[in-house]
Amino acid sequence: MKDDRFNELMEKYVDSTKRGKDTDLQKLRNRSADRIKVHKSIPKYVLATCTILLVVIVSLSVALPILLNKEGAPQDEPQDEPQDVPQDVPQYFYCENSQIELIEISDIDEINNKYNFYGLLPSIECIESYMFVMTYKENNQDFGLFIEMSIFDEYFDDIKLNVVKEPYIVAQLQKFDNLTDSVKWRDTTVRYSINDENNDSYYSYAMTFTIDNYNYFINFESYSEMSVTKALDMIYFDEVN
Amino acid sequence: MNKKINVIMMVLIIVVSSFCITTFSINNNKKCEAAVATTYSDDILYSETATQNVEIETIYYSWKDTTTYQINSTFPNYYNTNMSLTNTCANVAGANIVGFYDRYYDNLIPDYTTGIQRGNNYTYYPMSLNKDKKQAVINTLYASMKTNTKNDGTTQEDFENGLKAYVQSQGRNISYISVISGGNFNFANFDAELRNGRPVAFFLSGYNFVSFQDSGSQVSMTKNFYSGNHIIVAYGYQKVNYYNANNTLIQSNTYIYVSSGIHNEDGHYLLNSGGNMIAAEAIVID
Repeated sequence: MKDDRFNELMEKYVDSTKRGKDTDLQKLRNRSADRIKVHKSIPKYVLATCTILLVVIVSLSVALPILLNKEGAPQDEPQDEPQDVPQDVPQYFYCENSQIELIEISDIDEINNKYNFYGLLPSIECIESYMFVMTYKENNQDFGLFIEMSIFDEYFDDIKLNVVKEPYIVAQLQKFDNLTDSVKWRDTTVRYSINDENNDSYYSYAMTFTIDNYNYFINFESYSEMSVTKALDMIYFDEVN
Repeated sequence: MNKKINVIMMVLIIVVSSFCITTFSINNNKKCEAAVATTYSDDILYSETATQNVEIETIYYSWKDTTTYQINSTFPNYYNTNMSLTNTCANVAGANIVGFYDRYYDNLIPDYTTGIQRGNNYTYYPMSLNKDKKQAVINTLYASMKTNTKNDGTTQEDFENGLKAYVQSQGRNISYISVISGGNFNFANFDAELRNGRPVAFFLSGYNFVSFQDSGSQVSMTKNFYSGNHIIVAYGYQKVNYYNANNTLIQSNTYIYVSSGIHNEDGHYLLNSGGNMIAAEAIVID
């Protein structure tokens, strides 16, 4: 309806009542004011902005924890069981590769002079050798010696020799605990094995013994079958100190 | 009425938008997790750094039957002697393979003879003999395999690419033949590759080395179990079935002859004894 026509009708209505113009049009004025108030309350751009913000906030509050939560449940780390060690039994240190630092030695004299190793050293002649001292990282103690000697004569190809001070134990050398055969060599009991695993006359020798506080572990392969004492006499042909 | 509709529409927009974004985030996160899993599977790093557990097992038997095959009675068993290099198992495995094939293609390790004929057998030289020549190969592979550049160790892909780069630089070709079928180690294919004279690289997550003493009625095994990822090179095997006095099969073990890459580990790898074989492939150099 057009405003002019509407106003004309309202004027006729007011004239038909006895209440007066102000009274009859009051409601109309109030309703218009209300309508104007509603129309003035929220601009469209504000509404849109608030909507967007609300969407973003709600979404982030849900999504962010999911995206950021990449850590799994903490896993229980294996705990070493505390071991009761009697006071009069030496404590053994079990060394894994990661606990051992290797220091190459170029001169065999360093073994005594620099690293205080006074155990039995091989005297067999070799083409080349590679040696290193093993140091336990936790206490920085030099506890072991590794020597690989290339010989390639009638009796030996190469010999690997480990010397480990008590009370240290190298985990990779625990396989020598399985050696059950034994023989006496220079007042020392030597446990050993001689295997021809593939029946091809290529023998694997393994032997271990203890002199003073040093444990010795020797292994080599050979196309010669020989006794343990003969092999040790050739490896250590000097007199035992 | 229009106001109500507008409000309802706004609420719906908020709810739907939130749902869509949330769903997208969840799915994307799942994809990330899946991608991490896939990436981890693809990019497992082999480094030989591991914790160790020793176990003793004894088998009592009356008789046994054994099947054995090996490419050669010996195999290169190098180890790293350059203490400035770490996590070198991939480099050492590659050097062992190069050392093996150097017998047939002399220039693979320049100015180096890889072994000596001893009667009917060929013996590969140990690490201590001409150590610098072999260490030079390990050093070169350390760079070409990009060891320790992504994380500690070397991925299988970088192992293959690095070894290929080295072999090709020496004028030879290389190829890799998987012996994994359907996600499982295929022993028949492994055997076939060995019988073709090809060593096989094992890519392991959790591994073991076993030494044993067999008295004829009793086998005492010392098993060194390692966690961590490692690469070893297989060159033979021994399959043993142990029986009791009633001819009942007690246990079957397959011992794989390997070069461990570790200076004091010369045991066998016991198949199906813990850990995962991520990949296994024969290496062909010609």
